[in-house]
Amino acid sequence: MAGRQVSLRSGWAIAVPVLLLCGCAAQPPKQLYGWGNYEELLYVSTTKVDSVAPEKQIETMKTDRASFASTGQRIPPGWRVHLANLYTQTGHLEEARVELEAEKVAFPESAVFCDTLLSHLGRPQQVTP
Amino acid sequence: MNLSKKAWLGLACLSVSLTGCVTPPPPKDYAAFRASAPRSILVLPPKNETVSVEGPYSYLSTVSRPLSELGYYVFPVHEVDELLKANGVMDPAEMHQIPLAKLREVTGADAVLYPTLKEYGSKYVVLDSVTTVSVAATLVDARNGEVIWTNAARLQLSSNGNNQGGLLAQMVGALVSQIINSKSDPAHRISQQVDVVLFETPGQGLLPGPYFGASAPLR
Repeated sequence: MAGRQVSLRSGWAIAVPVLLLCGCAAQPPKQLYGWGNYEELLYVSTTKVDSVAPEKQIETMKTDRASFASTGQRIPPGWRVHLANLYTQTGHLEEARVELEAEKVAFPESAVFCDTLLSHLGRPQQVTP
Repeated sequence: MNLSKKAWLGLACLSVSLTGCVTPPPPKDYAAFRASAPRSILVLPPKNETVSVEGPYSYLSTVSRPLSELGYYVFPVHEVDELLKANGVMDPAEMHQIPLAKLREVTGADAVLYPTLKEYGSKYVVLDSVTTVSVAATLVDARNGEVIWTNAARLQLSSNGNNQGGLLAQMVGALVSQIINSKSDPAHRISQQVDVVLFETPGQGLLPGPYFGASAPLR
């Protein structure tokens, strides 16, 4: 008896705040992009709190990309540029160039920035016309 | 019975903490924002008004996701920071002084977000810790320099929220949360909630960007 009363009251205690929270929620639940480990990698890159080898980060991003593809999630803005940066750090300039060009195709807003980065990309192989 | 009392107490506390949602300030004037209609946002590293060393860049790493999910092209924060540093601008406060025309020339950004970190970190008292993150941000149209949006958000969280009573339990609670906190910065996690308040509060946050809805590129 007492147990039932407790659970009923607890139920209300949970239900009422949940209703209140629903009223405050601003965002629809669905997401535009897949995120995978990208935010963790951003944290590692910007704060340098933990050092994770660029090769390891590249592997993580490749795994995430495969996961995005298999679940139909879109790659977020800037994601390919970050991967390009990791490729540049490890001397893979051609892979970096491919990612920067892909970012321009996916997000035309990035064109000027990607061209700036491309112009800094060491000396990429000249593509013969 | 004891349990239900606690449940009601929890409800009361939660209701108090939610009153900010119930009575919002009057909606902002979005006329300039609508006229500007930026497609892309360049987020500069936050100007630091705290004593925290890692705070600004920890906070910086949290903004890409909410702004992208709001439908904007968000320039990759780390690469922007590296580009500016490679050009000799080392400090976020200096970065905030770079002429818009120059930022636009190298990035093509429609708008620039200038965040300021006002509070960041945890204060430890004997049996508890209180973590505070406070951010102010201004969005400027990079084409004409007009301020199109400004907002601020501050959140505070006590680690002492789930104690079962009794001094021993409280001491264990304080110890445990300090160990966890040192491993994963609680201010970083609160930063993500600050972003929700800062960018997504109806009538105060940002208007949705061009990719909001179903039109994000598929590849």
